[in-house]
Amino acid sequence: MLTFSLLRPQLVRLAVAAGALVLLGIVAASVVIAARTEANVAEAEQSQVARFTTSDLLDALISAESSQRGYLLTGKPAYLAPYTSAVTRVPLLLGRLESVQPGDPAVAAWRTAIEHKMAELAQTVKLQQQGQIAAALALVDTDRGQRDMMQARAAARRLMDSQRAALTRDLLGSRFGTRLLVGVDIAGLVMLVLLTLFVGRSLQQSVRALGRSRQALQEANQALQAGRDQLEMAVAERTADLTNANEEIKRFAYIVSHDLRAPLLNIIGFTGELQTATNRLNRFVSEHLEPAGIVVPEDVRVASHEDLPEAIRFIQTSTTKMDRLITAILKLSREGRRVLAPEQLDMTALLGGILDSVRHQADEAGAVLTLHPVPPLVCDRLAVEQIFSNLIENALKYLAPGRPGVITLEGGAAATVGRARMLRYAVHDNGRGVAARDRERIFELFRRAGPQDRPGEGIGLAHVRALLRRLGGTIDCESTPGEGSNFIVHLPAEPVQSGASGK
Amino acid sequence: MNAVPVTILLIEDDPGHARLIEKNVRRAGVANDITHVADGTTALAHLFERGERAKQDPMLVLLDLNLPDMSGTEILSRIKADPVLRRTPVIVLTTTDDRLEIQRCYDLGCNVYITKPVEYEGFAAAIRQLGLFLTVMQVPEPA
Repeated sequence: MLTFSLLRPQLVRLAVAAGALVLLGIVAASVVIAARTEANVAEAEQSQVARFTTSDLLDALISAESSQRGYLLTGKPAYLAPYTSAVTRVPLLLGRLESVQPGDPAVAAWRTAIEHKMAELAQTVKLQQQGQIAAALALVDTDRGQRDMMQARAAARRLMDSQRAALTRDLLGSRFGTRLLVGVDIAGLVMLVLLTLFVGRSLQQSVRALGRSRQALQEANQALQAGRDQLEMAVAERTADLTNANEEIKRFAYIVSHDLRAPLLNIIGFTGELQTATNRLNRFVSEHLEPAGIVVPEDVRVASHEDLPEAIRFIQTSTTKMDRLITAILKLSREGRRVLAPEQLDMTALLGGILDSVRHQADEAGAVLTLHPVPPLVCDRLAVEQIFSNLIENALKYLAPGRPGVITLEGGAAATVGRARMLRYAVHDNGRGVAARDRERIFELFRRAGPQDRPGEGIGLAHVRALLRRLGGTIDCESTPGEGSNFIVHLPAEPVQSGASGK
Repeated sequence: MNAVPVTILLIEDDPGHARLIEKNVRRAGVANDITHVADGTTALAHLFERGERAKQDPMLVLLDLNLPDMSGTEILSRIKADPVLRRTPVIVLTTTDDRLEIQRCYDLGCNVYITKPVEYEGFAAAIRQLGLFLTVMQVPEPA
């Protein structure tokens, strides 16, 4: 697959280049061969002309001789007409032959033979015309004419043989050229067809390979999408599970706190009945028995006047505390069920309002409250008010004895967490501080830190943290025991979108 | 006063609560008969299975919502769906102070909704006030 994809494009490029070369070669060869063939044909034409001319010369020579013989025999000048015509035609024909076959020794030999013969003919004809018939015949008898004619015929034959050979050669050359052209064309065509087939197949394979890889990509994408869907489903399931578990815990807290209230009501109610009855009994003793002089034994007196009221008091203290705890759990669970309604909050005004509500208390404690401007927020008003009321009340509640309290509120932008732009709001105090080991514990339900000299159930900060969790925020405590504490709240500037939050 | 004395049907599963309610109602000067049933099934039997004639007797229902065998709202909706019983005043007296639950009871036709205060003084005071209320309230004559 790898070698194929790397090698194929190169091969295809080579094949295309080779095809171009073959085409060029065919064109070049055609041009060259056509030129050569044309030259061959031209030469063949020349040879043909030369041959006809040679043949015409021989005819003219033979006619001239026949005419000479006739004239010599009869003496009639009428027989001399072909000779006379030959005398004019022969030089013309010879000139044409020499122009077609210049510098050819065979032509030169032919010319010599013709001139010899013509000279012999001219001599005999001249003698006859002068009336010297005997001299003319004697000249004929010398066989010179016969010899000259034979030489001329031989020269003509030689010349014509060479001319036929040249013609054959030229014709063969042109035929070879034509065949060569056809051969080259066919070979080129075959090569082109092969190259085209190869390129076509390669292209087809590339296209098929491209299709395959596209399909593979598509399948991979589908697998990826399926995996992502599965993951999303798993996340959704987990979120739903967590939401359900969360809901169940809230319901559980609600039911438990609720069902604990019913028996508590009985304990409280009947303790009340017990107290009423005890009071009535003691009143009867002090109002009726003692005035009547009936002596109540000391242990009975202790039992009715001290033991019973003491026991009832303890029961009542405990049930009151238990009621507060149950109420707190109920409040927390109900707070967790409340639907949040985010709105634009002017935090400087909101915190100022909380400070105003505790200002009287602060004045009494001699504490100074300072508020620096803080950034606005989109959040549930009630929740935010509860958070900061708790923190400010705590700061006032746990001031260091013998030191004027200084409580300062400030805030600003904080680092972005995930997609949420976070804001920071801090409550600083110079109170008694929180020991390092207690800095996490104070946020747990019913847990408190330091000397237990202030009223409270250990609910406030647990409530604050539970609220902040719902709002997508956090709270941290920094403190130096004996010097003061900083409670730092981080809240998203806008509600965080999440399937798990909400109800 | 009505010609036929009004009976009070107290539907309350917790015997302690029932006793405390009865005591405090009596302290408020209410002398009417109080019938106490401790579960939903008995309550429905008392309401619906003594015949149409018994339904005519003027009655007032004190209803707790947390019953062992069914929700008090079930009994409330049965009473308010009955053509005769629906005029019977129903006072829901329960520990639940959930706002949605209260709304639901009023939607179903409950006449008064009272949350049992946990601290005894509050509870006793509420019941005594209810007793005073009962002494002056007019229960409609059945048709």
